[in-house]
Amino acid sequence: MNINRRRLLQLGALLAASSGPSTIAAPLFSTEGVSLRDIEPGEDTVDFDGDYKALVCVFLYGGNDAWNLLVPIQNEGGAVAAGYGYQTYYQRRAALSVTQEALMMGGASIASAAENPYHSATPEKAYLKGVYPIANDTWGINGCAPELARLWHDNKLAWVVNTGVLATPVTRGLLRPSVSPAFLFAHNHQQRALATADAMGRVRYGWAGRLADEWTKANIIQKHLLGMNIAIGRRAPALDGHLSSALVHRAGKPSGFHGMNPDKLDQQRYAHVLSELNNLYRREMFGGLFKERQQKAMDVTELLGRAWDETHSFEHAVGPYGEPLFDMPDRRLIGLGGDLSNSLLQQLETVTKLIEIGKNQGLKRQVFMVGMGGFDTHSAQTGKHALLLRSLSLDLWKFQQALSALGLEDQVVTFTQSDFGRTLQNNGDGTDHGWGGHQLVMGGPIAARVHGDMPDLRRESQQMVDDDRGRVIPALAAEQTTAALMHWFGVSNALMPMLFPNLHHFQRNDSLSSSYLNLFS
Amino acid sequence: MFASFGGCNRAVVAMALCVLGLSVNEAIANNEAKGALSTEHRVFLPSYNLLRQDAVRLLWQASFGPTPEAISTILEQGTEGWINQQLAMPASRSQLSRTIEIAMMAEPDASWFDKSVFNSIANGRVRHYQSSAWWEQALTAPDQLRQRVAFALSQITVVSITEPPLYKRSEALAVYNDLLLKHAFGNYRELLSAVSYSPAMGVYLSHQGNRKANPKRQTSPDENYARELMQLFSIGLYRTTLDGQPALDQDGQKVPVYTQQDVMELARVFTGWDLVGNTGFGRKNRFFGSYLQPMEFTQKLHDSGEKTLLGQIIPAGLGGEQDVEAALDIIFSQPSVAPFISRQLIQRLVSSNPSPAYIKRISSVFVDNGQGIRGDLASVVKAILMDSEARIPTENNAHGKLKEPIVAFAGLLRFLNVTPAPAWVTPQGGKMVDVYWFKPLNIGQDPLRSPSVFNFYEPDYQPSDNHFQQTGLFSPEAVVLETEPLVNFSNGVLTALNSSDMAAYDMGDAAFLKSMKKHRHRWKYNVRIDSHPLLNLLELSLELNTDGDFKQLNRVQGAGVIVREHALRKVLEVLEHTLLTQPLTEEYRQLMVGQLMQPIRKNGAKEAHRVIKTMIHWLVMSPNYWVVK
Repeated sequence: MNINRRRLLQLGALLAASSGPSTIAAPLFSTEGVSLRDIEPGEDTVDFDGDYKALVCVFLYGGNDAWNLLVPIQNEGGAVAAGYGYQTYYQRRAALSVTQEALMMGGASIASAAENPYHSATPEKAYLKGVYPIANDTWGINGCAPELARLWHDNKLAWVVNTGVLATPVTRGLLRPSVSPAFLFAHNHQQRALATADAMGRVRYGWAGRLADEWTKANIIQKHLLGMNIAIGRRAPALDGHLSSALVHRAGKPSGFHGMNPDKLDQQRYAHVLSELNNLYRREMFGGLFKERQQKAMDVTELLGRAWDETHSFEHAVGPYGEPLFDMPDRRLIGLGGDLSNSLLQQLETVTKLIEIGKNQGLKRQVFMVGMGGFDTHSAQTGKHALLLRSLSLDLWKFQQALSALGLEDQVVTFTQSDFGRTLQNNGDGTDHGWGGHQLVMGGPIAARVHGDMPDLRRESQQMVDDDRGRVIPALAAEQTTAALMHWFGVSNALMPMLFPNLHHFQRNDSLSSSYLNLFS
Repeated sequence: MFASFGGCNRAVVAMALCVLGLSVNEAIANNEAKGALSTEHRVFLPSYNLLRQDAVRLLWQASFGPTPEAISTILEQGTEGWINQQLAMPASRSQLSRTIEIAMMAEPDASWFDKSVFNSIANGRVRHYQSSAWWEQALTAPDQLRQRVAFALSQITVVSITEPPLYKRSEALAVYNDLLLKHAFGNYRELLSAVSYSPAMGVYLSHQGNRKANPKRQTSPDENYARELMQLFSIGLYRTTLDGQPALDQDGQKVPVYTQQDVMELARVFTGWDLVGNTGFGRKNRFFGSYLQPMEFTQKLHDSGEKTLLGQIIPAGLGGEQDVEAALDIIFSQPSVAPFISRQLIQRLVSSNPSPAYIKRISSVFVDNGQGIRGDLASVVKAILMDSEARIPTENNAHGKLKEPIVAFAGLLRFLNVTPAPAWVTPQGGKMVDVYWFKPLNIGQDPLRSPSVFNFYEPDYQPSDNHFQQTGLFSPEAVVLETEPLVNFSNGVLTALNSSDMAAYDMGDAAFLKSMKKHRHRWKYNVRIDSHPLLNLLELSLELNTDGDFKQLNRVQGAGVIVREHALRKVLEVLEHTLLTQPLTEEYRQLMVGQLMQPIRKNGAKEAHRVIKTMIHWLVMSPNYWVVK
């Protein structure tokens, strides 16, 4: 261990200690007999056994139209009943239907320009052109996402079909306010329901935030300046607990405070005086909050500023077009006739850095939230969604490559969430807010499986909201995925009811664990 | 009780005036005339008084930050007098025309009025010209209250540059801001109309190009604007009483105001609208249509059938505008509108946690301004600012708020006598004269650039913090006060102090000149500030002159220590009395001044500048600066 690294470890521990533990225990919520008080601090015992694990949630802001990312391609008739196959999908989506055409998967490099089936196509045409069939040709992955197809074939990707915010299993006939999630179709409420893992809007804090609260209280995770949870780019309510506030870190290397370089004695002193002055503030809570945020900003930028340049593990890895792994290839290479946003890619690069740093700092568990915007495709969907899917596919594949270069492929799992799915029906040139949609789970330990069943997409189906817009009622609760991931993460069964208050409605037998999806190989 | 604010006596005003930078300038003038200062100028900082403190507070609530001039105006006119005068002022300048001016200055050879529409060439740099025009108004407009209320409204009826055409047709944002300025003291109902027809909103929430259902093509109307109009711009989710508390049904449950069916009905109302000059209906492309005029209506794409909205019937056969107006009338008549909008305006201007009684007092004015008019924003704004919860200093934890980063940044620049950047030549060969140049600062907020329709933060954000958790109180602004914005804020402040200060320029500081030249075009913003008044105050306090040599400053032996300390305290006092709504503790003053007693730079003038810069930076990055209470 070099001196710098030792200094970093000390710094991290020191700063964590100085911020001091808080020990307030108010009830988080109390519903259906489950309350935080049922789980005494320290009762939960977890032995991480020296291993490291991280979870990365990729939030697709705006409501991803997953019905066009993973398309039902079986023809109806024979084993496939009416409503469950491509014909109904085609009828409902009309001008937005992806064709059934099976596209050729590229070679090992997946999507070099020549192999890209849409080279020189427009996004609009590429979007509807065809699919990569998977799972015995029952489903097809949109042709804009060849890397996702590759990840499936490499046994690193699972699909969770028709999942979403649910309090309890429901069908059209049973949909009443008491069992229907609060404010369906409203972005902020559905995002919040996912963040709190409570469709009914009773829980105040995020699922990962509450886990951090519990594990901190029980001394299962060490106190550290970086904390367990890190949101990239913007605050993520899922990661904020009663007392555990997630670190919010920019995409990219932390920018430092000018004039407060810790390596220069005079500047270090300058920063120190600023802290001392702010520490005198005791007047009231708004200022107190500012004081804490400012101090944390100074401490975190110092810690990460030093640690950043020591990370290096995937410098030589390349992407599918031969570009440096975390560069976005230019539009000529991609051949889609549109620019891909590199926002998610930058965030994921940042996550690989923070994983490496976290591991070096001795952290055992990390949860990251990254996000990609633009999925609220009310208009111009064929053009916009094509580029979004292309970039999502490329970015996730690159991230998985980076983890592999770090030797952490089996210790990191990535999964998506999104506000909701979208209406099957077209609003002219886009889609409106729906409910159920598909999500994906990616990682070394993940088995290539499709979880959940194809719903009946016909108008009169029990799996449709009765407003004729094609809003599909999800069959799997989002928590069934998250809980399975938490189980892998080391969360004890005793803690699960606190994290996921509605999960017991989805049990298939006496055991709560029967509600978890069987994601791992 | 507030009448007394208006009738503040002359002696108090004169005393308070003495504290201002202005008085320093007068002192300098005297100095130059007489050759030396008479002893009466040695004591020109009288005790802090509550009237002055309240003027500072009012300016943080109702403008983009206090300046000595604005403080003295309030002290002369009284709180109510100043508010009345501000309410009577028309919008000082059109942001659109200023955006166009800057664009034509920056790129004289561009064909700006092709197709007789400004910027049909979709020049993406227009977003910087618009942003610069926005900041110029915030920093310098005399109609500060109108500017500030428009900024608050831009955080309720949100549009954002993030929807692709707006990124390259940002003149739409200038038009939108002008619309907010126009209606800031008008009627909220009329604002809703203007917002509904505006190109920026049409494109942002996609009712631009929205068509009636087409059974053959399996399409139905876009629900986007319909939903957000009700959820965010008018009635909110739950039925509430005037005090903002949920109105419960007989089972004690909250009552949703609208249903999904209402959203779908309202979506049908907003069909048939598109940008003027868009040659293919519904086309959304940065090259087509006008972003300067309200959207136009096409009857054949409108669903003119009967609609049922919130239990009321909109009859079949109405024209597009009649249909929209009928729907807005129904929405605007909902009882929840008054508390929903009132609370958010209070949060943006005065307090994160207004008491139910405060909300009720304001909602009541929203319902009826005393002349039977509902939705009169001028009366609502005045009531918000004149309320005892806004005016009476209090230690109550719930009261007050954290500053919005934009306000905190603009306020500092205003205090530092901001003026336009020195003229420069653009890469497109234009000469930029008298421009306040601003690109996004990434300080947690950039105006009209929020990440989503839910603004930069939501009204009910509760930090994961002991005090907030125990009390159940909110602090929306805390959402964005995170590491990255704080770093950018701090660095932005240092950019001003290190590389934009005319005082340093006048000193001929070589390092400063180099930095100014090198960085000008890479900065996120480029303006000039002037710390002369503070430097003059420092030197006057040291030496009774303002000759700029600061020769006494570094003489820190014997009595020199006392002189230096005295002078530093004078400067801190002015900072405190002009920028803060609560006094510093003596402990704080002692520590800050004590830490600056040791000279670092040999040259007196440079040492003076270092000291002033440091004091400002430390203070501005402290909780004392960020709390408005």
